[in-house]
Amino acid sequence: MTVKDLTQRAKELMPWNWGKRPVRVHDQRRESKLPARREDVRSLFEDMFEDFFGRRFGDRWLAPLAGTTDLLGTDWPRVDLEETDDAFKITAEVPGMEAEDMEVTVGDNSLTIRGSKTTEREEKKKDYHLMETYSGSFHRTIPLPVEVNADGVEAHCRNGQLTVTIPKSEAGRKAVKQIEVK
Amino acid sequence: MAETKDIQKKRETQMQRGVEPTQQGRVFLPPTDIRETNESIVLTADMPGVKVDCVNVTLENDVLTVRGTVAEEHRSDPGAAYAEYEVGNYQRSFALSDEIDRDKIDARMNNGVLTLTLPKTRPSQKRIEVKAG
Repeated sequence: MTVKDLTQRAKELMPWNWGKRPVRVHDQRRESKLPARREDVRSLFEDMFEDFFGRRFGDRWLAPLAGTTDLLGTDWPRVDLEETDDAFKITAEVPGMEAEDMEVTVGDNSLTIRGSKTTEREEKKKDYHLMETYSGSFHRTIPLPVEVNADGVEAHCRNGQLTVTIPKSEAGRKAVKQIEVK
Repeated sequence: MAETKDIQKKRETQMQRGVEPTQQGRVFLPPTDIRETNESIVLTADMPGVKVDCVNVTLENDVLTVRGTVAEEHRSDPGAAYAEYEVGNYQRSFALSDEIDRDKIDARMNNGVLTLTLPKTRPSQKRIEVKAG
C-alpha cells in the first residue's frame, strides 16, 4: 500500500459533513481567546449573539458566575439547573463515565462535581483520525442561591447523564416569597 | 461573552435538503473519536441520555448512519433556570471505504457512549523491513 492510498483512506474516514462547518476542537490548555481564522471570528460573533439573546440564563445564577470562571472549574461537563418550589435539579452530560468515577459534594451554598474520565487515547494519539470527545479530569462548582438540605441530596448516573437532586431547607423554601398582585 | 464560560456548544446535524424531520426538536452531531488499528476502525460517539434500545445504526450505500433517541426521563424541563446544553436526539453519518467488512460491524452502547468496531477485510498496514546495504 502506498502513502497516497493511505491519505485517500484517511479522507474517506472523515465525517459525512466534513468541511461544511468549521470544527472547533476543544483544548483545555488554550490560553488565548483571540480567534485565529476568519471562521473563528464569525463563530465568535455568533457565540456573542447567542449568549446575549439566545441563552436562558437566570440573572440570579449569572451574577455570581461572572468573572470567576477560573474558580468555578473546567468548562465541561455541561450542566443544566432546574428549580422547583422544593428542590434544585442539576443534570450534567457525562458520557462514558461510571458512577464511581464521580464525586459530588455539597457545601453551604454550592454544589461541586468532580471526576475524571480516562481513555486509552492519550498514549495512542497517532492512531486517531478524529478526536472530538472530552477526557481528563474536571471539577465544576455551581452556586446555589438558597440554603439546602445537604443530607437529602441524591445523585444518579444513568446512560451517561448525571442527575443531582438537592432539596431546599425549610429556611431556603421560605426565602422566596410569592407576592400577590391585586 | 467573556465572563460566561467558554462552553463548547453541541453542533447540530445538517439535514439533507428536501428531507423533513418526522420528530420535533433539535438533532445534534454526537462528538466522535475515530481510531484506526491494524485490524479495524473503532468509532466512539458520545450520546449521553440515549439508552441501549434507542440506538439505531444503519448502513446504506456505503453510508453508515448512527441515530440515537434520548429517553424521556433525560429530557430536561424547558423552564430550566440555567441551561448550558439542550437535550435532543443525535444523528451522524460516515462514509465507509471498501475495506470494511460490512457483515462484521459490532456496536456496543455503554454509559451513553456508542462504540462501533468496523473490522477491515484485510490488515492494511504492512511493515516493510528496511535492510542495510
